[in-house]
Amino acid sequence: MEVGDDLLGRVKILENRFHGEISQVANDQELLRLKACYLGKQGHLAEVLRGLGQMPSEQRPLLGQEANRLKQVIDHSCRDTLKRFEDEKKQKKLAQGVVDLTLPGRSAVLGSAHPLRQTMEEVEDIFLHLGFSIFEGPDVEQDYYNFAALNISANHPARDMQDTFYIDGDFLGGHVGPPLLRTHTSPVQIHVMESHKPPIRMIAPGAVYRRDSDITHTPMFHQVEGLVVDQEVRFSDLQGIVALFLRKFFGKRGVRFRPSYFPFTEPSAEVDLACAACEGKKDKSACRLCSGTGWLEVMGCGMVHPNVLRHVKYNPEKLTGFAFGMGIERMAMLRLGIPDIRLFYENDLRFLRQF
Amino acid sequence: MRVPISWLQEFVPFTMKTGELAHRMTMAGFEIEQILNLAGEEVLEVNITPNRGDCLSIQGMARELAAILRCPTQLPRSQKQRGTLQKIKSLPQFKVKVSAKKECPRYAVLFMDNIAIGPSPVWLQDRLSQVGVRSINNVVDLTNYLLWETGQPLHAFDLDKIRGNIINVRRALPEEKFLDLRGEEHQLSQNDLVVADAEGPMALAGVIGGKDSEVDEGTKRVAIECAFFNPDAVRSTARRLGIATESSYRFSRGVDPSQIEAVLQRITQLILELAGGSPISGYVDISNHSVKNRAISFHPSSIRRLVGTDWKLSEMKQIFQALGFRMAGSGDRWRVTVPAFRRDLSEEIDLVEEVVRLGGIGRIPETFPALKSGQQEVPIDFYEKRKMRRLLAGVGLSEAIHYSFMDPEDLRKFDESLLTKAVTLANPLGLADSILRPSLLPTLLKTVAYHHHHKILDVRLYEWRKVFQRHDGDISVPSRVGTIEEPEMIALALSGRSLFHHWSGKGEVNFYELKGVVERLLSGMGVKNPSMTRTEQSFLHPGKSATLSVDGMNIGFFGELHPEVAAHFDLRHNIYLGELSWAGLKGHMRQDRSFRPYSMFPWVERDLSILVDQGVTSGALQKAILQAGLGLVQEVELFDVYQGDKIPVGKKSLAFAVRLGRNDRTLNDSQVTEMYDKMVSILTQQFNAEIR
Ligand SMILES: [Zn+2]
Repeated sequence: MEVGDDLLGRVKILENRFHGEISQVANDQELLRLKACYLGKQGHLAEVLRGLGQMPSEQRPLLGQEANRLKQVIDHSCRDTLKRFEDEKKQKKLAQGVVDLTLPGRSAVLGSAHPLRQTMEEVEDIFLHLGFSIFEGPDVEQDYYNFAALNISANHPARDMQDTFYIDGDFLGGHVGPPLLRTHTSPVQIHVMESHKPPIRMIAPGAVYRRDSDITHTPMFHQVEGLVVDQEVRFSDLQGIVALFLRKFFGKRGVRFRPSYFPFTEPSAEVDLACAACEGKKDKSACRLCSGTGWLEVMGCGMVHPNVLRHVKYNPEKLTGFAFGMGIERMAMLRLGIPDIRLFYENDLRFLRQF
Repeated sequence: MRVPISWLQEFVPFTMKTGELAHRMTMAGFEIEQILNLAGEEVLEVNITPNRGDCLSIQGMARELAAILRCPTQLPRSQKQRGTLQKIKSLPQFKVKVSAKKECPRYAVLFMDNIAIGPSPVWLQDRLSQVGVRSINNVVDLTNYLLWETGQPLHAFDLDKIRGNIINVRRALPEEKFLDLRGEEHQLSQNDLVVADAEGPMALAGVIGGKDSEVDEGTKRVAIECAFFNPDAVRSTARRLGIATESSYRFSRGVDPSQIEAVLQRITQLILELAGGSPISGYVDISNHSVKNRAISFHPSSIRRLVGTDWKLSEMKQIFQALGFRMAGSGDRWRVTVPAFRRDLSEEIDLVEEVVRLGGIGRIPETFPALKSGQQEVPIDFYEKRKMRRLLAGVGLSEAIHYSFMDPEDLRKFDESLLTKAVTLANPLGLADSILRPSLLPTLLKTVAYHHHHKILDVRLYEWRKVFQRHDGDISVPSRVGTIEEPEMIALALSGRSLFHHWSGKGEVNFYELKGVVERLLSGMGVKNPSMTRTEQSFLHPGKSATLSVDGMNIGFFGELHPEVAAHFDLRHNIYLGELSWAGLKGHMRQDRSFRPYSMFPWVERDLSILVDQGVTSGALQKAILQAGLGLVQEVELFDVYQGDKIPVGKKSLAFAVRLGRNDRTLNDSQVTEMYDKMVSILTQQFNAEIR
C-alpha cells in the first residue's frame, strides 16, 4: 500500500471517529476540547498532514482537499452542536420563569368618583355640548331666592310640598327672614337672571335639602336645574331639549310630557321615561319598577312663570323661557339599577368601587 | 286622593275602561298613581297638585273629568232635592256670632233635633273605607261623606254640650288652651282662629274639633257647621300646631263658598234619612263674602308664541266651554270669565295652560331654541376640579358623599374648638343631624369606622364638599350681621394595607404613603414649592403630622389620627387623615404650563451613602447636594434609609443616587469626580457627615 492511500485512509478513519465522538459530547466545554483535539496545532488532522511531505507530489492536492473537507465538516458539526447546546440552555432558562396566570397582577389601585358625581358630570357634559353654561349657587339661601322670587309666596300651598330646614341664629339680616337650606337648585336661576342679560342658557347642579327621611327620601340630595330665556322660546323648544337630553342619557327610550304643576313654571309638565323593564311588553301590570304604569317620572319642567320674570325685571311680554329640573339620585338609580337611595350615602367601598 | 269609580260615575256617566280613564286623567294633569281594589270596587289614587284645591272632592273631580271627556255632568239621583231648608236670621235663645270677620268670611250653621246616633249603613261605611276614613257614627260619617263628595268640610257639635247658648268664631285669647278630639292638648296663640262657646274654644276653626263638644252615642241635638275660613288662617294654625286633617288640607287650598247652601240641603236630607231627627227652624248664615267671577284677557295668538303649535279657535272655545268659562270679545282679544272656585286662574298664561292640558300636550312637537349667543360660561375652576378628581382617583381614593349634617357630639369628640364655627339648624331631623359640618373629617372617620366594623380594613377614601362655617356678627354694630361661608374642602383618609401591597411584597399604609398622596396631588395640580412643617392640630399625632403651606399660607394638614381621638371613634387601627382647602390649592396652581428643555446627553449616576446624626433631615442633605452641584445635578433620589445595629447609636445612614449632566454635552470623568468630591466635602463640613 502506498503512503498516499494510507494517509487518505486515515483521514477517512478520523472522520468516522469524529462523528462517533461528537455524538458523545455533553456540553460546550467538551465540545471545545474535542474540536481542539482534531483541529488544534497538535491535533489529529495536523498529525495526518505532517505526512504530506512523504506523499507523491501528484497525490498531495487530493490529500489537501480531503483534509480541508474534513476540517469543514468538523467546523460545521461543532458549530451546529454548539448552537444546539445554546438553544437547549435558552429553552431551559425560559422553562424556569413560567408564571401562574391565575395569580393577581400588581398595579396601582385606582379610586373612583362617587356614582352621584359621575352621573352629575355626565349630565353636565351633555348640556355643555348643547351650548349651556354652568352656574352654581350657595347651599344656604335666603327665603326670597328659594321661594318668593320663584312665585312661592309665604302661604303658598307648594311650601307644604317641601319642608324646609332653617338655620338658627341671626344671619344675613333679619328683614329677609331666617336663612334656610335651599330646597331646590332653582334659586340659582334667580341669581343668574339678576346678574345676566338674556339670552340665558344654563344649568345649575348642586345639593338640595328637604326635611324628609324615609325609604325613598334622603334629607339631602342632588339636582340639576336648567333654564333657557330668550325671545321666542316656546314649550316645543323645551320638549326638544329635554327629550334630546334624555335620549342621550338613557339611550333611545320613549319620552312623554304630562301636564303638572310647579309654582315657578306654567304650563308645567312632568317628564316620563318609558320603563326599561316592561317597554314593549303587553302586560305591564306586574312590573315593579314602574308599578305597572309603563312610565317612570324623571324630570319636571315648564315655561318660566311670568311672575318669576317680573321678579328679576325681565319683561314677560318680550321674553319667554323654560326651566327643567331633575334629581341626580333618581337618574343614577335608574341608570345603574341601584335599588335604594340610601346606598349613596352609606359610602360602603363595596358600593363605591362598583362604579 | 282616593276616588271610587262608582262614586265618580254618579256624577259623570262614563263607560270607558278604568285603564283608559286613568290615562286620560293622567294626561290632563291628574296623575293616577295607582288603581286600587277596595271593598270590591276599583278606586283611583289621584295625585292632585296643590293649585287644584277645587278638585279635592268627588264632585270637583267629576267636573274636571267631564271637561276632559267633553261630556256633561249630572246630579246623582239621591241628590235631587226634596223640600227646601229655610235660611233664618237667628235662633231664639241662641246666638251665632263671627267676631273674626276677616278670617271667617262666611259661617253657616244648621241645627237639628231628635237625632238617633247609631252605626252607618254598609254602603256609607264602604265608601268611607274606600277613601280611607274610619267610620265613627252616622252623623260624623255623613259630615265626612259630604267632605269627600263636595270638598266642603263640615263639623258636627253636640248642641247640648255648647255652653252659654253661643257660638262665636273668634281669635284665640292669650294663654288659651284647647283639647282636640284626639285627646291632645294645644297651647293656642292669638293668631289661631277658634270656634268658641261661652267658656272656651270648641274647635280649631277648619282644623279639628274639640273633645268637649264631640258628637257621641248620647247626642240628641246637633249643630252642623258649614263655613268658609280664610285659607291662610287655617294653614298657619295647622302648620304651627303640626295638625294635618282632611279639613285643614281643603281649607288651606281654598273651598268653594258658593256651594254652602247646597251642602247644607244635602246633609239635612241625608241625616233625615239615616239618623232621623228634624231641623230646628232652619239655618243661620253669616256672610261677609261676595263671590266674584274673574275675567281674564286672552289672546289666542299667545298659544303659538308660548307653546309652539296651534289649536283651532273652535277647539279653544270648546275647551273653555267644557271648563265652564264664559267668553266675550273677538279676533285676537278675548275676555274669558272663569268660575270663582278656579282660584288658580288669574292671568293669560293660566288659560294657555288649560288649552295645553285639555287640548292634548302630545300634540306639541319637539323643536329647538335658536342658539343666539356664542358665550358659554362655566365656573372658573370647573376644569381644574375635574382634573383634581382624576388625580384623586389616580392615587387610589374612592369618593364618599355624606350629608352636610352632623352630630355635634362627634365634633366635640374630634375637635371641640370647631364647635364655635358650626352652623346650627333651627329644625333638624334630630340631634344627630343638628349642625352643618364645619369639617368633613369626623363623618369621614365614622365611615372608616363603619368599614372596620365590617372587617374591611383597607380603606382609601376622599370627600370633596362644602363645609359650613359661621362668622358671627358684631352685635354692637347693627349693620354687621353674621355670615355663613361655604368653602370647599378635600378630606382624605387611609387605613389598612398600602396601595402597593401585593402578594409579591407586603406593606401597611403609613405616614409616608399619605405624604406621597398629598405630594402627587399637589404636583399634579402644579402647586409650586409646598412646604411642610410640624402641625398643631389637636386631632393628629404630634410627631407624625404636617401642616402644608404655600407662600406662607396654610392650605391644609395631614398625618396620623391622634390615638386618643381614634379611641373616641372606636377605631383600633392606624388611620391617616388629611384635609386640603380647595381655595388654598387653587390659589397656588401653576398657570404657565410651558415646555422646559432637557438634556440630550446621558447623565452619569453616582451613589452617595452618608452617615449623619439622627437629627439631620433628608431634605437638608438633598438641598446641600443640589447646591454643591452648581446646576449640574439633574436628579437626586433617596433610595435607602438605615438606622440600626450595623451603625453607631444616634446615627443614621442615607443613600442618594445623584444624576449629573449638562444640557449641552456629556460630562467627562474628571468633571464628575471633581463634582463628587465637592459634594462630599460640603456634606462633611455642614453635617459632620461620614461618606461610606
Ligand atoms: Zn315597567
